Amino acid sequence: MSTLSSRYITAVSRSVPESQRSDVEAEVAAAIEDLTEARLAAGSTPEDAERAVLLELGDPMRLAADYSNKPLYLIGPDHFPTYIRLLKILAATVLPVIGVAVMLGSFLSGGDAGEIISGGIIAVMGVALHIFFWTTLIFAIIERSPDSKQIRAKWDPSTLPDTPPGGVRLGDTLAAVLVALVGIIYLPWQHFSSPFRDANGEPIPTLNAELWPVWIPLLMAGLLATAVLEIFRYRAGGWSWRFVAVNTVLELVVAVPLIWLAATNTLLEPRFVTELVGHGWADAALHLNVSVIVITAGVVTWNLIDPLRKVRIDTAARAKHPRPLG
Amino acid sequence: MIDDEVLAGHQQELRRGTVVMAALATLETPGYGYGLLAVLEKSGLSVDANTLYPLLRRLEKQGLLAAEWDTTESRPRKMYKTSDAGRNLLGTLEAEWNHLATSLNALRSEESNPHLKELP
Repeated sequence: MSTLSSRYITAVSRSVPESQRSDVEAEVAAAIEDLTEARLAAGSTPEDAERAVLLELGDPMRLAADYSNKPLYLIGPDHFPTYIRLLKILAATVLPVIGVAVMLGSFLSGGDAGEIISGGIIAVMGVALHIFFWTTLIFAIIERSPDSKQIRAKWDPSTLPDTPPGGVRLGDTLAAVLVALVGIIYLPWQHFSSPFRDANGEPIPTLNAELWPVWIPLLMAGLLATAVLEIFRYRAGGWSWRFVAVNTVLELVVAVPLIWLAATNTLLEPRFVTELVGHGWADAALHLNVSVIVITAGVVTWNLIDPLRKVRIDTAARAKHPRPLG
Repeated sequence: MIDDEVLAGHQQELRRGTVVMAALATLETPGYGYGLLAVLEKSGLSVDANTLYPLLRRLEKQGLLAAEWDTTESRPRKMYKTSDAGRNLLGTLEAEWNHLATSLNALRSEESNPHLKELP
Protein backbone atom coordinates (compact mmCIF):
# COMPACT_ATOMS: atom_id res chain seq x y z
CA MET A 1 0.00 0.00 0.00
CA SER A 2 1.41 3.36 -1.04
CA THR A 3 2.11 6.27 1.29
CA LEU A 4 -0.84 8.26 -0.11
CA SER A 5 -3.29 5.53 0.88
CA SER A 6 -1.76 5.00 4.31
CA ARG A 7 -1.87 8.76 4.89
CA TYR A 8 -5.55 8.68 3.97
CA ILE A 9 -6.24 5.78 6.34
CA THR A 10 -4.39 7.54 9.17
CA ALA A 11 -6.41 10.71 8.53
CA VAL A 12 -9.70 8.75 8.76
CA SER A 13 -8.78 6.76 11.85
CA ARG A 14 -7.59 9.87 13.67
CA SER A 15 -11.18 11.26 13.59
CA VAL A 16 -12.77 8.01 14.77
CA PRO A 17 -13.20 7.13 18.49
CA GLU A 18 -10.37 5.03 19.92
CA SER A 19 -12.54 1.92 20.39
CA GLN A 20 -13.46 1.64 16.69
CA ARG A 21 -10.09 2.75 15.33
CA SER A 22 -8.38 -0.52 14.35
CA ASP A 23 -11.59 -1.94 12.89
CA VAL A 24 -12.30 1.14 10.76
CA GLU A 25 -8.66 1.25 9.64
CA ALA A 26 -8.89 -2.34 8.37
CA GLU A 27 -12.23 -1.68 6.65
CA VAL A 28 -11.01 1.45 4.88
CA ALA A 29 -7.81 -0.31 3.82
CA ALA A 30 -9.79 -3.21 2.35
CA ALA A 31 -12.17 -0.83 0.62
CA ILE A 32 -9.29 1.12 -0.95
CA GLU A 33 -7.64 -2.05 -2.21
CA ASP A 34 -10.87 -3.44 -3.71
CA LEU A 35 -11.75 -0.18 -5.39
CA THR A 36 -8.21 0.26 -6.72
CA GLU A 37 -8.10 -3.27 -8.06
CA ALA A 38 -11.34 -2.69 -9.98
CA ARG A 39 -9.87 0.42 -11.59
CA LEU A 40 -6.63 -1.35 -12.47
CA ALA A 41 -8.67 -4.08 -14.14
CA ALA A 42 -10.40 -1.36 -16.14
CA GLY A 43 -6.99 -0.30 -17.42
CA SER A 44 -5.81 2.76 -15.49
CA THR A 45 -2.28 3.23 -14.18
CA PRO A 46 -1.68 2.50 -10.44
CA GLU A 47 -1.18 6.22 -9.62
CA ASP A 48 -4.34 7.31 -11.44
CA ALA A 49 -6.35 4.49 -9.89
CA GLU A 50 -5.29 5.30 -6.34
CA ARG A 51 -5.89 9.01 -6.80
CA ALA A 52 -9.35 8.37 -8.27
CA VAL A 53 -10.27 6.02 -5.42
CA LEU A 54 -9.23 8.49 -2.72
CA LEU A 55 -11.18 11.23 -4.51
CA GLU A 56 -14.19 8.90 -4.65
CA LEU A 57 -14.03 8.20 -0.92
CA GLY A 58 -13.72 11.95 -0.34
CA ASP A 59 -12.69 14.09 2.61
CA PRO A 60 -11.34 11.72 5.33
CA MET A 61 -12.99 13.75 8.09
CA ARG A 62 -16.38 13.33 6.40
CA LEU A 63 -15.86 9.59 5.92
CA ALA A 64 -14.81 9.22 9.55
CA ALA A 65 -17.94 11.08 10.67
CA ASP A 66 -20.07 8.70 8.56
CA TYR A 67 -18.32 5.70 10.11
CA SER A 68 -18.68 6.85 13.70
CA ASN A 69 -22.07 8.56 13.27
CA LYS A 70 -20.77 11.87 14.59
CA PRO A 71 -22.33 15.18 13.52
CA LEU A 72 -20.54 17.29 10.92
CA TYR A 73 -21.99 20.47 12.37
CA LEU A 74 -21.42 22.52 15.49
CA ILE A 75 -25.07 22.86 16.53
CA GLY A 76 -27.75 20.77 14.88
CA PRO A 77 -31.48 21.28 14.27
CA ASP A 78 -32.43 19.81 17.68
CA HIS A 79 -30.82 22.62 19.62
CA PHE A 80 -30.49 25.43 17.09
CA PRO A 81 -33.83 27.19 17.93
CA THR A 82 -33.02 27.22 21.66
CA TYR A 83 -29.50 28.40 20.90
CA ILE A 84 -30.69 31.35 18.80
CA ARG A 85 -33.39 32.32 21.33
CA LEU A 86 -30.90 32.28 24.20
CA LEU A 87 -28.41 34.40 22.21
CA LYS A 88 -31.14 36.96 21.46
CA ILE A 89 -32.25 37.15 25.09
CA LEU A 90 -28.68 37.54 26.34
CA ALA A 91 -27.86 40.20 23.74
CA ALA A 92 -31.01 42.18 24.54
CA THR A 93 -30.52 42.11 28.32
CA VAL A 94 -26.80 41.98 29.09
CA LEU A 95 -25.39 44.27 26.38
CA PRO A 96 -27.39 47.45 27.18
CA VAL A 97 -26.70 47.07 30.92
CA ILE A 98 -22.95 46.66 30.32
CA GLY A 99 -22.85 49.57 27.86
CA VAL A 100 -24.64 52.00 30.19
CA ALA A 101 -22.69 50.86 33.25
CA VAL A 102 -19.29 51.24 31.56
CA MET A 103 -20.15 54.66 30.10
CA LEU A 104 -21.49 55.85 33.44
CA GLY A 105 -18.36 54.65 35.23
CA SER A 106 -16.15 56.37 32.69
CA PHE A 107 -18.15 59.60 33.04
CA LEU A 108 -17.98 59.58 36.84
CA SER A 109 -14.23 59.06 36.75
CA GLY A 110 -13.92 62.17 34.56
CA GLY A 111 -13.49 60.78 31.03
CA ASP A 112 -14.16 63.06 28.06
CA ALA A 113 -16.92 62.37 25.54
CA GLY A 114 -14.65 60.38 23.21
CA GLU A 115 -13.38 58.12 25.99
CA ILE A 116 -16.87 57.54 27.33
CA ILE A 117 -18.34 56.52 23.95
CA SER A 118 -15.38 54.47 22.69
CA GLY A 119 -15.06 52.76 26.08
CA GLY A 120 -18.74 51.83 25.97
CA ILE A 121 -18.54 50.48 22.40
CA ILE A 122 -15.41 48.44 23.13
CA ALA A 123 -16.92 46.98 26.31
CA VAL A 124 -20.15 46.04 24.51
CA MET A 125 -18.24 44.41 21.63
CA GLY A 126 -16.03 42.47 24.05
CA VAL A 127 -18.99 41.21 26.07
CA ALA A 128 -20.87 40.34 22.83
CA LEU A 129 -17.94 38.16 21.72
CA HIS A 130 -17.86 36.43 25.11
CA ILE A 131 -21.61 35.76 25.06
CA PHE A 132 -21.39 34.37 21.52
CA PHE A 133 -18.34 32.21 22.22
CA TRP A 134 -19.44 30.66 25.51
CA THR A 135 -23.04 30.06 24.42
CA THR A 136 -21.82 28.40 21.21
CA LEU A 137 -19.29 26.29 23.11
CA ILE A 138 -21.87 25.06 25.62
CA PHE A 139 -24.35 24.15 22.87
CA ALA A 140 -21.65 22.40 20.84
CA ILE A 141 -20.85 20.27 23.90
CA ILE A 142 -24.55 19.53 24.49
CA GLU A 143 -24.89 18.54 20.82
CA ARG A 144 -22.11 15.98 21.29
CA SER A 145 -23.31 14.49 24.56
CA PRO A 146 -24.99 11.09 24.18
CA ASP A 147 -28.45 11.91 25.54
CA SER A 148 -28.74 15.40 24.11
CA LYS A 149 -31.98 14.65 22.27
CA GLN A 150 -33.76 14.19 25.59
CA ILE A 151 -32.80 17.61 26.94
CA ARG A 152 -34.08 19.42 23.89
CA ALA A 153 -36.43 22.18 24.96
CA LYS A 154 -40.11 21.46 24.42
CA TRP A 155 -41.82 24.04 22.32
CA ASP A 156 -45.26 25.20 23.37
CA PRO A 157 -47.70 27.30 21.34
CA SER A 158 -48.30 29.59 24.32
CA THR A 159 -44.76 30.95 23.97
CA LEU A 160 -45.62 32.55 20.64
CA PRO A 161 -45.21 36.32 20.70
CA ASP A 162 -48.38 38.40 20.33
CA THR A 163 -49.16 39.70 16.88
CA PRO A 164 -48.65 43.46 17.04
CA PRO A 165 -52.16 44.89 16.56
CA GLY A 166 -51.03 48.19 15.08
CA GLY A 167 -52.76 51.47 15.79
CA VAL A 168 -52.60 53.57 18.96
CA ARG A 169 -54.22 53.04 22.33
CA LEU A 170 -55.90 56.10 23.80
CA GLY A 171 -54.07 55.53 27.10
CA ASP A 172 -50.66 55.76 25.37
CA THR A 173 -51.63 59.02 23.70
CA LEU A 174 -52.97 60.55 26.94
CA ALA A 175 -49.82 59.53 28.82
CA ALA A 176 -47.55 61.06 26.16
CA VAL A 177 -49.57 64.33 26.12
CA LEU A 178 -49.56 64.45 29.92
CA VAL A 179 -45.76 64.05 30.08
CA ALA A 180 -45.31 66.85 27.52
CA LEU A 181 -47.71 69.13 29.47
CA VAL A 182 -45.89 68.47 32.75
CA GLY A 183 -42.65 69.53 31.05
CA ILE A 184 -44.23 72.63 29.53
CA ILE A 185 -45.63 73.72 32.93
CA TYR A 186 -42.47 72.82 34.85
CA LEU A 187 -40.14 74.97 32.73
CA PRO A 188 -41.72 78.35 33.75
CA TRP A 189 -42.85 77.09 37.17
CA GLN A 190 -39.33 76.28 38.39
CA HIS A 191 -38.37 79.92 37.79
CA PHE A 192 -40.87 81.24 40.35
CA SER A 193 -41.04 78.45 42.86
CA SER A 194 -38.01 77.08 44.64
CA PRO A 195 -37.01 75.61 48.00
CA PHE A 196 -34.18 78.21 48.14
CA ARG A 197 -34.33 82.02 48.34
CA ASP A 198 -31.55 84.52 47.70
CA ALA A 199 -30.53 87.46 49.96
CA ASN A 200 -33.46 89.58 48.64
CA GLY A 201 -35.98 86.81 49.35
CA GLU A 202 -36.40 86.04 45.61
CA PRO A 203 -36.70 82.34 44.71
CA ILE A 204 -33.55 80.75 43.20
CA PRO A 205 -34.60 78.89 39.98
CA THR A 206 -33.46 75.32 39.33
CA LEU A 207 -32.49 75.92 35.71
CA ASN A 208 -29.98 78.52 34.64
CA ALA A 209 -31.74 81.91 34.38
CA GLU A 210 -29.59 82.74 31.32
CA LEU A 211 -31.40 80.02 29.35
CA TRP A 212 -34.59 82.06 29.21
CA PRO A 213 -34.33 84.12 26.02
CA VAL A 214 -33.67 81.16 23.69
CA TRP A 215 -33.39 77.68 25.20
CA ILE A 216 -36.35 77.41 27.55
CA PRO A 217 -38.90 78.70 24.99
CA LEU A 218 -37.35 76.32 22.44
CA LEU A 219 -37.74 73.34 24.80
CA MET A 220 -41.34 74.37 25.57
CA ALA A 221 -42.14 74.70 21.86
CA GLY A 222 -40.58 71.28 21.19
CA LEU A 223 -42.63 69.64 23.97
CA LEU A 224 -45.83 71.33 22.78
CA ALA A 225 -45.22 70.15 19.22
CA THR A 226 -44.65 66.61 20.54
CA ALA A 227 -48.02 66.68 22.29
CA VAL A 228 -49.74 67.94 19.12
CA LEU A 229 -48.03 65.20 17.09
CA GLU A 230 -49.28 62.56 19.54
CA ILE A 231 -52.88 63.77 19.12
CA PHE A 232 -52.60 63.76 15.32
CA ARG A 233 -51.05 60.31 15.44
CA TYR A 234 -53.95 59.02 17.49
CA ARG A 235 -56.47 60.44 15.01
CA ALA A 236 -54.54 58.94 12.07
CA GLY A 237 -54.51 55.54 13.77
CA GLY A 238 -50.75 55.07 14.09
CA TRP A 239 -47.42 55.96 12.60
CA SER A 240 -46.84 56.92 8.99
CA TRP A 241 -43.48 57.81 7.48
CA ARG A 242 -44.40 61.52 7.62
CA PHE A 243 -45.07 61.28 11.37
CA VAL A 244 -41.78 59.46 11.81
CA ALA A 245 -39.90 62.27 10.07
CA VAL A 246 -41.58 65.00 12.16
CA ASN A 247 -41.09 62.96 15.34
CA THR A 248 -37.36 62.56 14.62
CA VAL A 249 -36.92 66.33 14.24
CA LEU A 250 -38.92 67.09 17.41
CA GLU A 251 -37.08 64.52 19.51
CA LEU A 252 -33.74 65.99 18.43
CA VAL A 253 -34.92 69.59 19.01
CA VAL A 254 -35.63 68.73 22.65
CA ALA A 255 -32.88 66.19 23.36
CA VAL A 256 -29.82 67.72 21.71
CA PRO A 257 -29.97 71.08 23.57
CA LEU A 258 -30.74 69.31 26.85
CA ILE A 259 -27.76 66.96 26.55
CA TRP A 260 -25.46 69.69 25.31
CA LEU A 261 -26.42 72.08 28.14
CA ALA A 262 -25.95 69.35 30.75
CA ALA A 263 -22.62 68.26 29.25
CA THR A 264 -21.28 71.84 29.30
CA ASN A 265 -22.65 72.34 32.85
CA THR A 266 -24.83 75.31 31.78
CA LEU A 267 -28.22 73.67 32.43
CA LEU A 268 -28.44 74.23 36.18
CA GLU A 269 -28.51 77.63 37.91
CA PRO A 270 -25.11 78.06 39.59
CA ARG A 271 -26.67 79.61 42.73
CA PHE A 272 -29.03 76.61 43.01
CA VAL A 273 -26.09 74.21 42.83
CA THR A 274 -24.25 76.27 45.46
CA GLU A 275 -27.23 75.89 47.79
CA LEU A 276 -27.27 72.08 47.23
CA VAL A 277 -23.53 71.87 47.90
CA GLY A 278 -24.09 73.96 51.02
CA HIS A 279 -26.63 71.38 52.17
CA GLY A 280 -23.96 68.64 51.92
CA TRP A 281 -24.45 67.31 48.34
CA ALA A 282 -20.86 67.93 47.20
CA ASP A 283 -21.18 66.49 43.67
CA ALA A 284 -24.71 67.78 43.00
CA ALA A 285 -23.87 69.31 39.60
CA LEU A 286 -22.09 66.19 38.36
CA HIS A 287 -24.81 63.79 39.53
CA LEU A 288 -27.68 65.86 38.16
CA ASN A 289 -25.98 66.50 34.80
CA VAL A 290 -25.16 62.80 34.33
CA SER A 291 -28.71 61.81 35.23
CA VAL A 292 -30.12 64.29 32.69
CA ILE A 293 -27.76 63.03 29.97
CA VAL A 294 -28.34 59.31 30.60
CA ILE A 295 -32.12 59.58 30.93
CA THR A 296 -32.48 61.91 27.93
CA ALA A 297 -30.23 59.75 25.76
CA GLY A 298 -32.13 56.61 26.75
CA VAL A 299 -35.56 58.13 26.19
CA VAL A 300 -34.68 59.73 22.87
CA THR A 301 -33.05 56.54 21.56
CA TRP A 302 -36.18 54.57 22.38
CA ASN A 303 -38.43 57.28 20.88
CA LEU A 304 -36.43 57.20 17.65
CA ILE A 305 -36.31 53.39 17.34
CA ASP A 306 -39.85 52.54 18.46
CA PRO A 307 -41.66 54.35 15.59
CA LEU A 308 -39.39 52.62 13.06
CA ARG A 309 -40.51 49.27 14.45
CA LYS A 310 -44.17 50.22 14.44
CA VAL A 311 -44.53 52.17 11.20
CA ARG A 312 -44.90 49.11 8.94
CA ILE A 313 -47.32 47.36 11.30
CA ASP A 314 -49.43 50.49 11.64
CA THR A 315 -49.48 51.11 7.89
CA ALA A 316 -50.53 47.51 7.28
CA ALA A 317 -53.22 47.67 9.97
CA ARG A 318 -54.61 50.89 8.47
CA ALA A 319 -54.73 49.34 5.01
CA LYS A 320 -56.72 46.39 6.43
CA HIS A 321 -59.14 48.37 8.60
CA PRO A 322 -59.32 51.91 7.23
CA ARG A 323 -60.81 54.25 9.75
CA PRO A 324 -62.25 57.67 8.97
CA LEU A 325 -60.22 60.66 10.06
CA GLY A 326 -61.76 63.04 12.55
CA MET B 1 -38.39 22.47 -16.92
CA ILE B 2 -37.34 21.17 -13.54
CA ASP B 3 -34.10 22.54 -12.19
CA ASP B 4 -31.42 19.81 -12.30
CA GLU B 5 -30.40 20.48 -8.73
CA VAL B 6 -34.00 20.26 -7.48
CA LEU B 7 -34.52 17.02 -9.40
CA ALA B 8 -31.31 15.50 -8.02
CA GLY B 9 -32.27 16.52 -4.48
CA HIS B 10 -35.69 14.86 -4.66
CA GLN B 11 -34.31 11.73 -6.30
CA GLN B 12 -31.66 11.42 -3.61
CA GLU B 13 -34.28 11.81 -0.90
CA LEU B 14 -36.45 9.10 -2.44
CA ARG B 15 -33.54 6.68 -2.91
CA ARG B 16 -31.97 7.13 0.50
CA GLY B 17 -34.04 4.48 2.30
CA THR B 18 -33.94 2.01 -0.58
CA VAL B 19 -30.18 1.45 -0.19
CA VAL B 20 -30.79 -0.29 3.15
CA MET B 21 -33.40 -2.57 1.59
CA ALA B 22 -31.12 -3.32 -1.36
CA ALA B 23 -28.19 -4.15 0.93
CA LEU B 24 -30.26 -6.40 3.22
CA ALA B 25 -31.81 -8.20 0.22
CA THR B 26 -28.53 -8.69 -1.64
CA LEU B 27 -26.57 -9.88 1.38
CA GLU B 28 -28.88 -12.86 1.93
CA THR B 29 -25.98 -14.33 -0.06
CA PRO B 30 -22.83 -13.48 1.94
CA GLY B 31 -20.66 -10.86 0.30
CA TYR B 32 -18.11 -8.13 0.93
CA GLY B 33 -18.34 -4.37 0.48
CA TYR B 34 -16.96 -4.00 -3.01
CA GLY B 35 -18.95 -6.99 -4.27
CA LEU B 36 -22.18 -5.39 -3.03
CA LEU B 37 -21.19 -2.06 -4.58
CA ALA B 38 -20.68 -3.77 -7.97
CA VAL B 39 -23.97 -5.73 -7.76
CA LEU B 40 -25.97 -2.62 -6.88
CA GLU B 41 -24.28 -0.67 -9.69
CA LYS B 42 -25.18 -3.40 -12.19
CA SER B 43 -28.80 -3.55 -11.03
CA GLY B 44 -29.24 0.18 -11.53
CA LEU B 45 -29.20 1.14 -7.82
CA SER B 46 -25.83 2.87 -7.90
CA VAL B 47 -24.58 4.05 -4.49
CA ASP B 48 -21.47 6.07 -3.69
CA ALA B 49 -18.68 4.03 -2.10
CA ASN B 50 -18.33 6.54 0.73
CA THR B 51 -22.03 6.11 1.52
CA LEU B 52 -22.16 2.31 1.31
CA TYR B 53 -19.12 1.37 3.42
CA PRO B 54 -20.15 3.39 6.50
CA LEU B 55 -23.75 2.18 6.01
CA LEU B 56 -22.62 -1.45 6.17
CA ARG B 57 -20.82 -0.74 9.39
CA ARG B 58 -23.91 0.96 10.83
CA LEU B 59 -26.15 -1.99 9.89
CA GLU B 60 -23.63 -4.33 11.49
CA LYS B 61 -23.68 -2.27 14.72
CA GLN B 62 -27.49 -2.42 14.71
CA GLY B 63 -27.32 -6.22 14.43
CA LEU B 64 -29.03 -6.28 11.03
CA LEU B 65 -25.93 -7.68 9.32
CA ALA B 66 -23.58 -10.32 10.66
CA ALA B 67 -19.94 -9.66 9.76
CA GLU B 68 -16.67 -11.48 10.05
CA TRP B 69 -13.21 -11.08 8.58
CA ASP B 70 -12.49 -13.61 5.84
CA THR B 71 -8.76 -14.41 5.84
CA THR B 72 -8.79 -17.30 3.38
CA GLU B 73 -8.05 -15.05 0.39
CA SER B 74 -4.82 -13.18 -0.40
CA ARG B 75 -5.89 -10.28 1.82
CA PRO B 76 -8.50 -9.95 4.57
CA ARG B 77 -12.00 -8.85 3.65
CA LYS B 78 -14.98 -8.26 5.83
CA MET B 79 -17.82 -10.57 4.79
CA TYR B 80 -21.37 -9.49 5.54
CA LYS B 81 -24.51 -11.60 5.78
CA THR B 82 -28.07 -10.53 6.55
CA SER B 83 -28.99 -11.62 10.08
CA ASP B 84 -32.41 -12.81 11.26
CA ALA B 85 -33.15 -9.33 12.59
CA GLY B 86 -32.10 -7.93 9.23
CA ARG B 87 -34.43 -10.32 7.42
CA ASN B 88 -37.32 -9.25 9.68
CA LEU B 89 -36.59 -5.60 9.07
CA LEU B 90 -36.41 -6.20 5.33
CA GLY B 91 -39.86 -7.86 5.45
CA THR B 92 -41.31 -4.90 7.36
CA LEU B 93 -39.72 -2.37 5.01
CA GLU B 94 -40.96 -4.25 1.94
CA ALA B 95 -44.51 -4.29 3.32
CA GLU B 96 -44.20 -0.54 3.94
CA TRP B 97 -42.82 -0.03 0.44
CA ASN B 98 -45.72 -1.93 -1.13
CA HIS B 99 -48.20 -0.04 1.00
CA LEU B 100 -46.72 3.26 -0.16
CA ALA B 101 -46.82 2.14 -3.78
CA THR B 102 -50.48 1.09 -3.47
CA SER B 103 -51.41 4.38 -1.84
CA LEU B 104 -49.60 6.39 -4.48
CA ASN B 105 -51.23 4.43 -7.27
CA ALA B 106 -54.63 5.00 -5.72
CA LEU B 107 -53.93 8.72 -5.63
CA ARG B 108 -52.84 8.66 -9.26
CA SER B 109 -56.01 6.92 -10.42
CA GLU B 110 -58.82 9.19 -11.49
CA GLU B 111 -61.65 8.13 -9.16
CA SER B 112 -59.96 9.33 -6.00
CA ASN B 113 -59.21 12.84 -7.19
CA PRO B 114 -62.82 14.14 -6.87
CA HIS B 115 -62.56 13.59 -3.11
CA LEU B 116 -60.19 16.50 -2.92
CA LYS B 117 -62.77 18.79 -4.49
CA GLU B 118 -65.43 17.64 -2.02
CA LEU B 119 -63.36 18.77 0.96
CA PRO B 120 -64.83 21.77 2.72
